[in-house]
Amino acid sequence: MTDSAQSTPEQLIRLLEPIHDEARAMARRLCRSRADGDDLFQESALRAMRKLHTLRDEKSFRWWFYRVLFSVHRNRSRRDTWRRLLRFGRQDEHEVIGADGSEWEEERQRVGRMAEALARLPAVQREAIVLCDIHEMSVEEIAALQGASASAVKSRLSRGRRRLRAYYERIGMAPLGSRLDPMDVAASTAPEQTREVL
Amino acid sequence: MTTRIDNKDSSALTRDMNAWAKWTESQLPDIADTRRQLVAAAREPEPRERRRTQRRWIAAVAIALVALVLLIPLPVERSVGRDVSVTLSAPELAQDRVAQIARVFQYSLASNTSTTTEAEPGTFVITTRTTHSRLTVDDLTGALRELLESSGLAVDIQIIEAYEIVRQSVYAHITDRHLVLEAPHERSAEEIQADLRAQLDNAGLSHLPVEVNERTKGSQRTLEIKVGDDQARLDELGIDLRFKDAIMLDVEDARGDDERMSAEIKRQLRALGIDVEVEVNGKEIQIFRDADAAPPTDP
Repeated sequence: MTDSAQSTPEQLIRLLEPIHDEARAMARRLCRSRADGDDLFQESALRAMRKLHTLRDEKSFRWWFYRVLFSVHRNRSRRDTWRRLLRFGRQDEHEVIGADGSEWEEERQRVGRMAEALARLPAVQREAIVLCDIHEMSVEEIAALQGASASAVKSRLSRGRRRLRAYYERIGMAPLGSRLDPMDVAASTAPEQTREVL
Repeated sequence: MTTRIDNKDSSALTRDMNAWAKWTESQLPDIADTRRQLVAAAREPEPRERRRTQRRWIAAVAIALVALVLLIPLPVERSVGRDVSVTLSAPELAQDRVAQIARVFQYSLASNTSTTTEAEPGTFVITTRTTHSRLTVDDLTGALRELLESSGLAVDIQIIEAYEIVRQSVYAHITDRHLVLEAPHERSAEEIQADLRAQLDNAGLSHLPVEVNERTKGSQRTLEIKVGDDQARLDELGIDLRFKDAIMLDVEDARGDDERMSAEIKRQLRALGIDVEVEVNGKEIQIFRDADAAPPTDP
């Protein structure tokens, strides 16, 4: 698209503007905290700016940027895994959501549980679930973004959900055998089963 | 923002997912904030480049430290030999005689220089530094004392270890393992072997075997000294064995003249109390303990 030496923040911002909020939110959803998500987004934006010359068609910027985001996310996940194993740096510093009032207590618990549950998934499963169940992307779109086959994405979704359910069962939030299947893979291809909640 | 949920399901998992989706999109930094951070970050080196630069610095510092340890000379105090001083006193002791004694003293201790000072009338102090072992120095000075006292001189000999600050790199300290073993020729093979054993033990090489064999042919005596089982093993340990005999002769002035060199060697050995026949033929020097064993001069 342009020479790497000439890539400027303005060029990236122009392309990023239409998807800015969506991408920022996606980055947060891949991380355990908003601060981590904002760092992930910023690192991805910086890398995107430096690699902007590899973008051939501006129309495909959205997918291109997400691929950059996932690449950075996986690198950070690997790094965090080693940090956790070697006990480097902060490990359990999470934001306290709604700590300022009791009316937020339930919200705080829900968000905290989901953050913890998603953080326990491998990076690719976390990505697949966030893209499918929050961003409503189809299996084919996720496969294109993750650079994997559709069956691999289905497998990631299935395994990821199983792990989420297992975690919820373990913390006593869902009894064993109950139907905790709000995010079945089939649902991703059946829009009539969805409703807007926000 | 939407989350895809099953209408029939209102499980904790679904509710939590909704709450997560809502929470993560609240208070999002605006695009102006993103631009500001990008502009600031664009001025910084790329993270990978920064890591590469850090690695280069770490490597450079590591190499510099290794070079510092291995190559840069560090001062180390170590023994460089023994200072031997002989105090001679006798009424009417002539300076010529003292000079002659000093020369013999210097030659016998294999030192390069000696200094003679007159402490008071009739008392002279000869000092020199030798690299011989303490054992050898004791032997040599003992013999010298007997010789000098028998000629009517009062003799006092002092031997002091000489230490110096030597500037040498760690690398040189590691590789400098020349081991000088002394095998005085006048001793028996058993004595030499015991002496070498002690020297090797002192050098921390107790594991190296030592064997001394003596062969005699007519009046010619040959000492065969074996240290270690295998030369390759010594090379591996970085040990270079050097043997020193107790007698050092200075025949530099007579080089090239066989007859003169022969006479000079005889003279210097006689000064040490060793009466031998010497035959010099170019680079070959043959020394015979008694005149009877000398080969006929006429071919």
